Amino acid sequence: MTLLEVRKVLNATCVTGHSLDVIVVKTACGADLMSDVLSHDKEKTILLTGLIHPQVIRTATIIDIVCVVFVRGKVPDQDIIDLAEKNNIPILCTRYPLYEACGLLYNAGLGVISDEPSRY
Amino acid sequence: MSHHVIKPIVRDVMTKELITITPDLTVRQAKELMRTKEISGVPVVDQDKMLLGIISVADIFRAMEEDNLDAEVAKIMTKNPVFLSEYDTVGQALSACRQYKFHRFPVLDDQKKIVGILTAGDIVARLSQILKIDQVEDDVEKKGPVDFTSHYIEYPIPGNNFERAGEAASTIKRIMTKLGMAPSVIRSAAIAAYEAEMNVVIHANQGLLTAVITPRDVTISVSDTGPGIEEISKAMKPGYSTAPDRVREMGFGAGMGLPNIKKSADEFSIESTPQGTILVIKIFAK
Repeated sequence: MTLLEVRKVLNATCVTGHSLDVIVVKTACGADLMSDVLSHDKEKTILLTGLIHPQVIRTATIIDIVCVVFVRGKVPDQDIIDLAEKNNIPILCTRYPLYEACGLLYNAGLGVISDEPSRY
Repeated sequence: MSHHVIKPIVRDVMTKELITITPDLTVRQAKELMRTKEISGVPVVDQDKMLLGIISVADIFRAMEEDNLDAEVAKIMTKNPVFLSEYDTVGQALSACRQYKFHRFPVLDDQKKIVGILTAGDIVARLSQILKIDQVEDDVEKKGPVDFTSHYIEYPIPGNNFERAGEAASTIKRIMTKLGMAPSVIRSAAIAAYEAEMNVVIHANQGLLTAVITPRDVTISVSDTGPGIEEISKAMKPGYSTAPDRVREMGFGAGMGLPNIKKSADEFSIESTPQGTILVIKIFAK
């Protein structure tokens, strides 16, 4: 699935300057705890979160998250957007709450990569 | 490694804004200076800037263990330290790093007066500037490993500074990417370093992260100056946390730090006393 499709499914807006049609994602991770995000070990992952904080972008950078989606209509401050631009991480904003946003993407075919549950 | 032909000398890459101390200071004063200036070692000189010795974080830790904080620096410093001349080449400096296994050298002029200090980090920073390799390119993974023997990174972590939290881990990640390490190894190292860095920022007064990167493995050590972990076995348990609420607002403090580090590491050790905690994390480049 491309980020453009993700944007359509979530009826989201992109607040950074990126060409969404060329970025491919394979799975997603929905969490507000950055330590939980850090234990996620799949590639080409988008992160859906209700937490608005620069550490979200830092965490995303550390594990090569390909896109951050802020849920529940929350809009990040400019410093977060700047940090994301600097680290080349697209940000999408959607009005859906976390559970619904994850469900919509799962339904649209963005599943989990492995059947194995994560270790924690 | 590069097609550029350059022979920079030590004077070109050393740190010239020099912080020195005199031997009559107490270890406690030296410790405070290193903490506030965010440096991990400082040369000891006499009135004429002649080099007498050098004191490092390791010396401070030892002095703490031996209850020597009020002793004079002269008593615990490393005397007659190995030094470089300002006209030595960076190549000679690198081989000194390898030979002596430490990573900070005072630089002296012809009159044997101190004119600078050289850390492995200075060399890395200056060389990446000269070679313009500090921009990470998207296709760097395809280029395969860069030819190198050992790479040393040193990064002070100021406690309670949430603005900068994550910078040390990002630096490790960037340098490993430049060196062409495998993505899975970079990822494990970055996660472990990030969690360890967050622990220092959240819980400790002052810390230092060092990393030694070789083509075979990465060794990250993170030390701090206290207050230490009360019960390590509890802290290793997923979900156990002593972090304050404002840390949770940033998505941390959920009691997953040490378990995440252990999960990312191939070898992991932790020692903690009220004077400080030392984590050593090793990840093999499979």
